[in-house]
Amino acid sequence: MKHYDAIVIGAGAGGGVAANVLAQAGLKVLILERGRHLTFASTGRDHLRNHRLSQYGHSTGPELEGNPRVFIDETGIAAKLHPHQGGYNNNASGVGSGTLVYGGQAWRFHPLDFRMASTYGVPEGSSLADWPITYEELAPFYERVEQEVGVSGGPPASQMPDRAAYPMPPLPETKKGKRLKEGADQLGWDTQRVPLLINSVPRDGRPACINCQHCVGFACPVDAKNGTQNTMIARALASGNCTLETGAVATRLVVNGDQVIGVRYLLDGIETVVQSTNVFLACGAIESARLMLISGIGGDAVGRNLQGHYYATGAGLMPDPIWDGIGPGATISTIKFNHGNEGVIGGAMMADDFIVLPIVFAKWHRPAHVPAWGQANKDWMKHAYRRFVTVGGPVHEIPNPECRVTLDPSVKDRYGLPVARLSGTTHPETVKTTAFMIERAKEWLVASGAEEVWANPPQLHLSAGQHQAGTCRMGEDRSVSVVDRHGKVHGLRNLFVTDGSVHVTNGGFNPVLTIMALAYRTAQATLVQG
Amino acid sequence: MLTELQRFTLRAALDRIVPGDEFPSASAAGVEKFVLTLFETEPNLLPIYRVGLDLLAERGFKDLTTDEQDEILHEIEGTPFGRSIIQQGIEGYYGDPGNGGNVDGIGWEMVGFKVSG
Repeated sequence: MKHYDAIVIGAGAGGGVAANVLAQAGLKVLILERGRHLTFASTGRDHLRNHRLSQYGHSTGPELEGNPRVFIDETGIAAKLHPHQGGYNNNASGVGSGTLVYGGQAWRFHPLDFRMASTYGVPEGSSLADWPITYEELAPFYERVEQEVGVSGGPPASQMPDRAAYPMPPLPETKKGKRLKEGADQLGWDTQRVPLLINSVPRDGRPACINCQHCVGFACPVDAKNGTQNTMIARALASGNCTLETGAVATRLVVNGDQVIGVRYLLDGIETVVQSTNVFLACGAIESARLMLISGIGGDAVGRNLQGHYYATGAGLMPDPIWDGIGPGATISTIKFNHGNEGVIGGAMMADDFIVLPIVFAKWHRPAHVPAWGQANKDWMKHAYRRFVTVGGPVHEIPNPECRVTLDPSVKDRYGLPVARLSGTTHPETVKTTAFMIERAKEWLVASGAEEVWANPPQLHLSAGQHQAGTCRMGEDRSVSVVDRHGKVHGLRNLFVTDGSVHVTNGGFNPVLTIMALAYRTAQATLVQG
Repeated sequence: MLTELQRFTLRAALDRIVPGDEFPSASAAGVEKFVLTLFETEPNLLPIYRVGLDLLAERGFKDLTTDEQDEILHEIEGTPFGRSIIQQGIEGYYGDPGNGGNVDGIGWEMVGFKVSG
């Protein structure tokens, strides 16, 4: 049987970072990735089949057939879903995973995001808790991923602790960004440019962003977007210490006593077992929990506290066209309302959106008084598209332990393995915070000159999606957590989780930089512990 | 795939979902082709369309005045067929030309969406 120093399961944000930290230290690393190498050329720009709008599928995995999940809705009705359908809570599958197609917002969590229970108390029915680590402990790793994966932006927000500058200047300011800055200035809100994992200048042998209109949801046409596939994984492979198997589906972690003694996986229909000193699980919060459950690992806490983000979004119509087509489009933000809001728990970062494609505008942003079809609809499209602005952001979710990933008792995937069954809804406090943030979004739009503002009221549902987190929660109490403060699974000496699963709470920010920083920290801790 | 009457009815209905003005109607912008192409990858849509188009055809839809056609579309907009044809009419007009509709990017030109790079 082949033996490695480390096996990393999942080549996304966390797995990619962990693999490179280990490979650079001279360890022999195997990455197992169920998806394939994907490129802009192989995935294209289908406006109806991408990771922003997956109306009829997506070109960036997972394959639509043979990978179902079961979703239990708010009323208890079960539905078997394909990967592109709402409720599946999909993330891209391929080398780089979500980082191939993300918009790349590169936020650090706020120091108070790590201390939610101490700051706000614990609402009844929620599993709100402090992290066992602090912002200060994670800060050095945030800085490393900002430098090594590559973030453009700056200067950093005034509400955050002192820190090093971003390695690249911000991407160009847009007309809508300028308008929103004027509005925020009038309100006395401090703002900053949105930090992005995108090259604003040539870096690492790849060019700067060309400001195209197809960023989030698509692969980059010039490879200026920094995912793990073109940074950490590329470097791990270049080190000569790392092997990447694509199309390799991990089917089981084999446990004996207090250690994982093998990883079983399927490659081209043939099952192989490999061994390693340490195993790093990084399949995303849904699939990591599923593989643990299939393998009979961990206690009752595995799969609980599934969370993502509610989005508090306000839409507005400016008196004049302010669409300038300069991508990626997310340019200005405020973190003034992430904490300290009267009467609600937590808050959210707010920013303007990536360029909204016309079909997304038509489907998602039509106010209630505009008909869905006919001449009035066409007139709206004609006159509103270039005047439209939206601001909003990811609301700090108040976790519910009944939001769960379990194994479905009957539905199996193409390999005969039980599929993930998603159930539960977030805690009602999340809805309250979302409603509060929607009002802030509207306020910002009005101050920026919007003639009309609107928003959809938030409703209780399960949120996981691309920001999925929480299912292998970090903590000291083994009855309600899955991994320790270093990401090591309780009771096992060589299994680590390096994806959003370990988040105790998911911040009021896009979580990818935190996933990467934690993976960096966990991988490095295994090096010094020998 | 569809009978001639179903095709004429489809065209007439799509052209009420996105009517022609200084910019082309849905069918003139390729949306009919978009829908027919979609049946190849979404075969479950075809029976829904057949049933719905037959019901419209029974009422002589394609030869009615535009006001009468709009009235019927309002009546059926909550049905599976009504929801589908409205959704796909909009998708065809504003989605990317690679999907068969939005010919020469005319829907994008109308709203002011420009692709660079």
